[in-house]
Amino acid sequence: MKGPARHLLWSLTILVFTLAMSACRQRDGEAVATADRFPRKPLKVVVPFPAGGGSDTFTRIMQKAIRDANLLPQPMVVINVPGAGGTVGSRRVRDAKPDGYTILNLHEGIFSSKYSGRVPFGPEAFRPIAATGQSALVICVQKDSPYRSLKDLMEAATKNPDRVLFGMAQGTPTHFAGRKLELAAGEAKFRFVASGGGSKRFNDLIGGHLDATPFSMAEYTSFAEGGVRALASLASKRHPDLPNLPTAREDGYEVVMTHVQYWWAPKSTPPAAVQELADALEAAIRTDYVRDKLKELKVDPLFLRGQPLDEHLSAREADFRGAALVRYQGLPDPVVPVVLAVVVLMAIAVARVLARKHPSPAKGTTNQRYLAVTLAVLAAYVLAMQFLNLPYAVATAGFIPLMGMAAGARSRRGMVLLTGVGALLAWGCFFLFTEVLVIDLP
Amino acid sequence: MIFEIFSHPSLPLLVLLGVTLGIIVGSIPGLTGAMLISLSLPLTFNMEGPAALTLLVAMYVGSVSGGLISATLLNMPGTPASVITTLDGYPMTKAGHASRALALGIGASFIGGFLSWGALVLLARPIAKLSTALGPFEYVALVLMALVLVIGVSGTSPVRGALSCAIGILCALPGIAPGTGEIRLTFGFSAMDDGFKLLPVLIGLFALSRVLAPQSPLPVEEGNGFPASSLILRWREWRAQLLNLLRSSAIGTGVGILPGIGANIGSLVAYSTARSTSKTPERFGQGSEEGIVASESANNATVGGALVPLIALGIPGSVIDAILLGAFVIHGLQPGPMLFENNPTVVGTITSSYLWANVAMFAIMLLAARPIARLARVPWPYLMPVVAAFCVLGSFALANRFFDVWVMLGFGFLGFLFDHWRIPLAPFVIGFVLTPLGEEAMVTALMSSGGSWWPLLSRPGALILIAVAALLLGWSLRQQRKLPAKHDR
Repeated sequence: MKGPARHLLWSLTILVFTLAMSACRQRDGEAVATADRFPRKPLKVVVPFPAGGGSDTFTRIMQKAIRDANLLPQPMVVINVPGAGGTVGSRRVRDAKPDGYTILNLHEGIFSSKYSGRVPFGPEAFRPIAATGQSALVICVQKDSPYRSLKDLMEAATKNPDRVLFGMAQGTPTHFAGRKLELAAGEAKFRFVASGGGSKRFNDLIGGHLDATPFSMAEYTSFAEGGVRALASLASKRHPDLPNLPTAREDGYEVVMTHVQYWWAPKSTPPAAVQELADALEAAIRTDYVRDKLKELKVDPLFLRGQPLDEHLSAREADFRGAALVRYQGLPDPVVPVVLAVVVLMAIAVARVLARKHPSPAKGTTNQRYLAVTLAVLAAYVLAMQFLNLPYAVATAGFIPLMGMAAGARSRRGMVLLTGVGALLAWGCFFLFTEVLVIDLP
Repeated sequence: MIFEIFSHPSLPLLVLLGVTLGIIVGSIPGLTGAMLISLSLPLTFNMEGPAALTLLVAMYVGSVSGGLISATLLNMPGTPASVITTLDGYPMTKAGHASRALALGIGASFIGGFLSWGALVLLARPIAKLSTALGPFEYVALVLMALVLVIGVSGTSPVRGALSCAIGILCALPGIAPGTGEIRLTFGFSAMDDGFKLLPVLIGLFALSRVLAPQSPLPVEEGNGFPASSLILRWREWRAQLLNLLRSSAIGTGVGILPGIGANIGSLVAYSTARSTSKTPERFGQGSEEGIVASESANNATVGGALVPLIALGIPGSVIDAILLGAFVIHGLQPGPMLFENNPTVVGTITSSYLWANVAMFAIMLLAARPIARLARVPWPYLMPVVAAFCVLGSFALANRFFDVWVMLGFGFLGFLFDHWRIPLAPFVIGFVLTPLGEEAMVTALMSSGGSWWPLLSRPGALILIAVAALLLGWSLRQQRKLPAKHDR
């Protein structure tokens, strides 16, 4: 064979090989599929928060227990879909195929995002699988604070309304906890300050920028030695490791704000799959590994499913429903001034260009064609994966030579090279990102 | 603090592995260190605690440094931390001084990292305590000060710089408004509830925008090889930069300590300060050696700075530190003020792995710079599809969403338009990065003062920062006027 034909043959061979490989892969999955009942392929647990956070860590501890004790016949993969206070991930699971293969781990964020008006849906949009692990919020002050008890704090907030700075993260259980305390004390009024997450509030508390704030039990244990004093826990009874820490109820404030990790499936998931998942979670939380880890984190190994879970959920939802949050009014709205600034600056810039006597030399018209072609190839690549469900490896193997052509690669030798690089890169990345790392590639 | 990592033979190997992976991922436009570390976190679950932390810290150091390679050679910052490095690194490459630019960047990275290690070891606890004195009003003042610095990276046209910055601020507004918790500017499109994330925006603006325009080949340096001259600079040459190095590393460390303010702001502040104190401010943006040194020493110094509150207080100083915090918990270490007392060996291992990761980074970068630099000479039609594929993969991998890929493509087009209209990109990034920080601080500040702005002037810390901002503004405008009066650029 002569040069050109040989090159063409090579390109074709590589392409066919890639396609065959991806076909084999899918066939493998299906072969296992018919062998057993649910689950017949790997499960995805969506954690709607970034890697390294509390929910992520908890889910991965459970995942490790399930894997090490072989509690599910298929692997369970954790996928982080962070954003918008957990609602990006919860929305994704709500809209997922209800087959039990995509589930969600989400704590009381599911209530708070509904009752703070962030999303129009709450627990009713899901089928609950189980509740695992419970800890309580702890109301804390700085070490040298004049408030010796929750009563002191609440009386100060009653005597001098809007003077006690109460740190919280807007629309989260920490915010609801403060609101519930106000309601329980009758006339008390905090000045709520949206300081943000636990570490940020710790920083602001010991820096003297806040008077009081709730921490989760795990946060409190890590910050306790750093100049933080607990006034009361918002639990129903005292924690066995902290026998000297009273609960808010003992002081006469009927406020319980706990932190529970819930597992959810899409609404119409078959009950058999939910059963299977709940079994695995129940067995996992009984393993010594999870028990030890939870003890370290001062989390009670609560487990609820079925009827008790439904009752628990409706009780908690009522809790959140009752505490209408007061939104802080009077913050400047940045949108209008920023839009105005953009418009004015743009007008000045355009005016300056027009005022110039010698317009800048024309910018080569070929660029526009190049731009259109490359953008079109890119868009086709992404669309094919997003809507046609084209596997990542196949799409990428095709995309690289096409993009090379768009960029001006014409020689046959070059095309073979690009096809080879494309196939290698596609498979390499696919393997690396799905097998070694955990990315949910199509 | 120094030799702990030699306590077990596997630890030095993990440092080498982590740094190498970090440099590779950091230098690929589209993939970033935060991504590498968050994806590797599950892989470390089966390791011992110190081994896992050593690996992750090494990745962190490698990725912050690796970005300078593509920033210098391709004008695409490999990581957000090296955005400022493109301003002078690429002009030097275009002028045929690629190897010198790399040498300065690598050396400055090492020295910045080393100096901030010193600060970490000697001053961690006092500085961490001091940093908590900064409240929301000080943060507002700090953000205002950083916004003033935009002038320093606006090129020769302040109007276009300001326009770029304003568009950056506008693009940071969609999503959940801090304070009220309301969702704004999403036009009912629920995928936008979280706004535009930093990484897809940066990947689009700086990497994909270059993919959308044909690129001309780089000039060959004098001499036969590429890069031609030695990558190790003599002491004599460093001496001229000594003050700049010390100042930029100190700025980087300081900025790194403040929670939530990342390496890109650290390098911006150092760069602008270097420009305002330079004898040749007109060289900045045209291939100034001082600019590269300031940016690169500062961004590496932020790594050590960000470890200060993590180790001393259990507060993450950066996005990557937040992931490290997760690693602590997984490995049964109690992060927080008692870490020093309860786990002195762990603290020792972290600080010593940070030191040796910097050494390893220096060695690997020097060895690898030549082959990697040769990659930059791969003809554009062969390099560009690979960059484009990594941009898509990298944006998707952030949150497993296609929405982020579309954001990346959209901002790639915007970056192309900015280039076309000669609007500088750096001010956009500054506006985009600072807006959420500034707005959150403003909301917290106003809520705690009951709506009054007065503490901005009555609190000494805030007042000092405001005064510095005013000084910088006056100084930068004066320097701007001294620049050669070319029309626009």
